[in-house]
Amino acid sequence: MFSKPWKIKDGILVGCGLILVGLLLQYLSGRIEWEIFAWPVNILSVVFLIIVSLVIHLLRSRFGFCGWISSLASAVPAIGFSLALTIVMGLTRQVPSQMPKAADPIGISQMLRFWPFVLCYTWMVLTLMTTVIRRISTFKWKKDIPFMLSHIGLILVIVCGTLGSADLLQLEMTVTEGKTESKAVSEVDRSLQDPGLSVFLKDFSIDEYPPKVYVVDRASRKIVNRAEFISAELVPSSQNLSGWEVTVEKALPFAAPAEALIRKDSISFEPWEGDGAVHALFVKARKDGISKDGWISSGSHEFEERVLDLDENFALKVPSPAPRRYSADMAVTSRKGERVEKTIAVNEPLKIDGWKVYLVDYDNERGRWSKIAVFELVRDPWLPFVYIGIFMLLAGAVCMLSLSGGRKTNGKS
Amino acid sequence: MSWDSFIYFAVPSVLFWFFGAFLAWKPLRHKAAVASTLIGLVIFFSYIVAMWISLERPPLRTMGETRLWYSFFLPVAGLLVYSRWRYKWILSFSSIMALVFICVNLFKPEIHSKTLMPALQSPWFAPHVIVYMFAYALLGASFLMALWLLVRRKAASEEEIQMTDGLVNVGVAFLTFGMLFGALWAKEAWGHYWGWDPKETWAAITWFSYLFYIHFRRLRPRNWKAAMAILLICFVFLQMCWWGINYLPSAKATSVHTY
Repeated sequence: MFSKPWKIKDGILVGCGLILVGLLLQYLSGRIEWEIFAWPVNILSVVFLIIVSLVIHLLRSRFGFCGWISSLASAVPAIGFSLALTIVMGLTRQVPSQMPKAADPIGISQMLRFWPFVLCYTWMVLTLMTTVIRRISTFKWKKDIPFMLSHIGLILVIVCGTLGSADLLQLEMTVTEGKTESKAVSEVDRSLQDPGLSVFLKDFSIDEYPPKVYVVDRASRKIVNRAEFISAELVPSSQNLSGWEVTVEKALPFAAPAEALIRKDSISFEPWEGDGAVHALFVKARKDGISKDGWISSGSHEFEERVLDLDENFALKVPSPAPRRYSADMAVTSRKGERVEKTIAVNEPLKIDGWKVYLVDYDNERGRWSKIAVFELVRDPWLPFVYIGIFMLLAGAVCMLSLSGGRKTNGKS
Repeated sequence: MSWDSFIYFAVPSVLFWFFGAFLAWKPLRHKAAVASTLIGLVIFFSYIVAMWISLERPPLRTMGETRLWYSFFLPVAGLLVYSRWRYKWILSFSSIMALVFICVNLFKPEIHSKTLMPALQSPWFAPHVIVYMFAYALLGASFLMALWLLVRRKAASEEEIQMTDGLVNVGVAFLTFGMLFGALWAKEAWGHYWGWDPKETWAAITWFSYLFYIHFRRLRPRNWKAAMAILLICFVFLQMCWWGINYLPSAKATSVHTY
């Protein structure tokens, strides 16, 4: 054991040792508080990692450990141990990192703050860094480019992603239509924060899918069969739903009950575009000579949902349609005087002064009549380095395609 | 043009693709294999264009419509890899995968009207899923190869092991594309590129497990039996990532990847 050169067995011992040391640290000092890595501690840590790797590289022929850590005999167990702990993470329900402590006594339910996990990944990063340095010292263009792309890419993603998370700001801001907001709350501890942006919400709107008519249980109003419905995209349209021949004859996307026509068991709807307007459909249903017809409607904060009873067990219902797209027309001004006017939506964020602004939610109770929009403001100064890492990994994968055994097959065929 | 006429385009396309896949296994039939696959693609694409015109929008809205694009891009990806690196099996794979998606569209038409939630409506959606499907198919093939070598063979030939390595390498490259496209998409949709969501955790596990295989092969090139056993385990992780997490108590109802 531990005689030069170190072998894979020594690697397994190192892994077990790291887990033991990690458990001890976890017991003595508690979970890892990533917050202390906030600028400039994180950049100093990066410099420290580079210096350590260089020193290990220079001592590689003097000490067994230093020669081993940049070899496959270290890479394989390092990946193995990191993998094993990630599997533990995948098998245990994780508690959000913001929560003050893990849900279990050992700490594995906050794996990202678990010492053994972090030590094993640090080992993997050191193996990556020392191997890269060793290969740089004997660099050959054609042979080493794919290696460098994927390995340096992975180092950048892991190191900058982890240490950079201490500088990551994620804030939540709720803005009312026609108003300007400049305060936000931290998603980590719900404390009030000033992002240095003022956000004016001109308009929030939801584009919905066409409403769908389902057969529901009359008492619970639960859908009987989700796969059976009529989409009211084109009217009239007919379909067989649970034995009933159902036809949607009229569809009003913005409607209100016509007050004058409300009778005890019949109601009529007319077009109306005011706040709280509902989807109203005129439907007919036929089965075994029985015929039913009438208006059904989705509900809103203004009007109750209306169903059409088919028999003593079932009814026809039109739930509020799912949103296809929701968007916020807004103007954002930064303290530095930069101003951006844009309509943003899910998958279409806005960029201003180092911030990215995302539309994440609205008043679900009011649905398409929501007067508020909820935004997430994200600032991640390390993102460019992570992206460089991601693109290097992508380029490395392209190289992998071109180098993997294909030429041999080519030569033979 | 509507879904009713889909079958008249789908069947000839699939026939041309499979003919091309068949030719790819024959020596000296490269050009014919490429040509046959191309003809299939032209037929299939003309259906997409016709749908595009009749819908007056690109057919990318429903699941059925996105499946059209998978079915189209799978042979495209297969053809690109084939014409560059001449893997004999690649066209067979891409054709089978395309056929699976075409069959879903033909036999499960009710899925056409399924709605797509806003987070999924992104140009990243199709590439993210397509390259993952492609990776899964290749790694599935490497699993079958490993199983066959372990069960049937006392000694595996150099060529068989190299073919397995080739499948894994190409599979891992596509797995990397899928994972990183997902990260880039997540940044646009959810504000962060990696959230250790259960699906993401298992994607990382799958990725690292195949990296473990690749590095183990280099460390112990002669111990092919252990390497093949590792591949079997890797594929179990892949299944966990793909659908297993839907049944995993630790992941249930906490993943943003369940739709």
